[in-house]
Amino acid sequence: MRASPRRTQPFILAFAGAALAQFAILLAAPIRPLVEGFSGDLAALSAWLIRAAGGACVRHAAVLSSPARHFAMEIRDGCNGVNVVVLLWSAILAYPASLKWKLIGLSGGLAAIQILNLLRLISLFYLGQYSWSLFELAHLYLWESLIIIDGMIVFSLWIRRLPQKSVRAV
Amino acid sequence: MDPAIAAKISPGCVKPVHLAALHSVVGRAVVYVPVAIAAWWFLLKGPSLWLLRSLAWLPLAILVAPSNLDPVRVDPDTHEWVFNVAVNTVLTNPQTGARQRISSVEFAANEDNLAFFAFGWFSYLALALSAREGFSTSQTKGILRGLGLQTAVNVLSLAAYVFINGYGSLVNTPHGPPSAVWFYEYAYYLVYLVLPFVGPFAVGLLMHPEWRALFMVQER
Repeated sequence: MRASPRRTQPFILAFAGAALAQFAILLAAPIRPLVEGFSGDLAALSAWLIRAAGGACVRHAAVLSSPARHFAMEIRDGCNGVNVVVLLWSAILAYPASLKWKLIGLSGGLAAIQILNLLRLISLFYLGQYSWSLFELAHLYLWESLIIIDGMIVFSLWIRRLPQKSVRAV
Repeated sequence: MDPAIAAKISPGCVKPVHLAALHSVVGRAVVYVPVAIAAWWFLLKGPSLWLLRSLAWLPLAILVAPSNLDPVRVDPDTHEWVFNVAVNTVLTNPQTGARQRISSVEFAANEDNLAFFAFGWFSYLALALSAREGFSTSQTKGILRGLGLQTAVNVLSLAAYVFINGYGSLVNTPHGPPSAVWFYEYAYYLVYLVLPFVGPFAVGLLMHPEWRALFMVQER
């Protein structure tokens, strides 16, 4: 047994093509209401989790607010985890695996990234009430990088669990 | 106190914690990346932006700016970065209806909005240091090459951002062609919301086999 990359160049081209196509779809006018609705659903789920844990949170569309602390934040592109989902899905779609395993990777990857993203949104909701500077650091830089690492872990685990027979001949 | 209980809570019973996570590439990255980004944010954001502006001056002058104008300068009052973009195009003035030749566009950007193009150095550095346990001088050459590549990514991303904003200001108007407006938004999204975050990981994967090993499969 030895480790080797599986045809790296075609994979990179397919990955780049899939990513560019998915980002184009994400910005297409008919899709925008779906993306904004998804951000609103994430806000609703975050607000429900915060309230279930005893916190105070008001949700309107994709905005989470704490009126008592005069703080509100809106979940927009880049904060809804969709960018990393697109990158992970592109890697899975570009990899020569069977359709069944691709579907497992796509759904499992979406779940893994959005679970961590919920943690991001809830942590940002509390961090923003405490310190604006820390909120900016975590919101703009830290969480996005950590979620990319999460995506890489998911892709690595997915590749390692692929049965040999499900990998298309390359 | 019961001597048996006292023995359990004495300093002698404290054992060093074995952080297994720090023995894997990903585990180290989860620790190093936040530390590096926090160090940049609290200590090195200003100097890194100064370095970015200095390094980007010549590429912006060659690729984006008109020859007779400064490609980037800092407004002394607002501390915004002011860019000049050569556009050399003819447009209809929406107020007068007259055709006008526009040779260049000037726009200002808040320094905080440009920090996306400077944080990649620190994110990459954390990923490079995560690649191996400990630090050896043999790593230094690879890391320096990676930093050089990351510098190119940062500077070219900034140049693309400036170019897109310059042309975008001509296209992104109420009467602008929808396909051109969409393409401007698409390019802006990729350069501003995707590339600054993905860049350091791409450079890390390219420069460090330890990161690529995450995605290698065992062939029977």
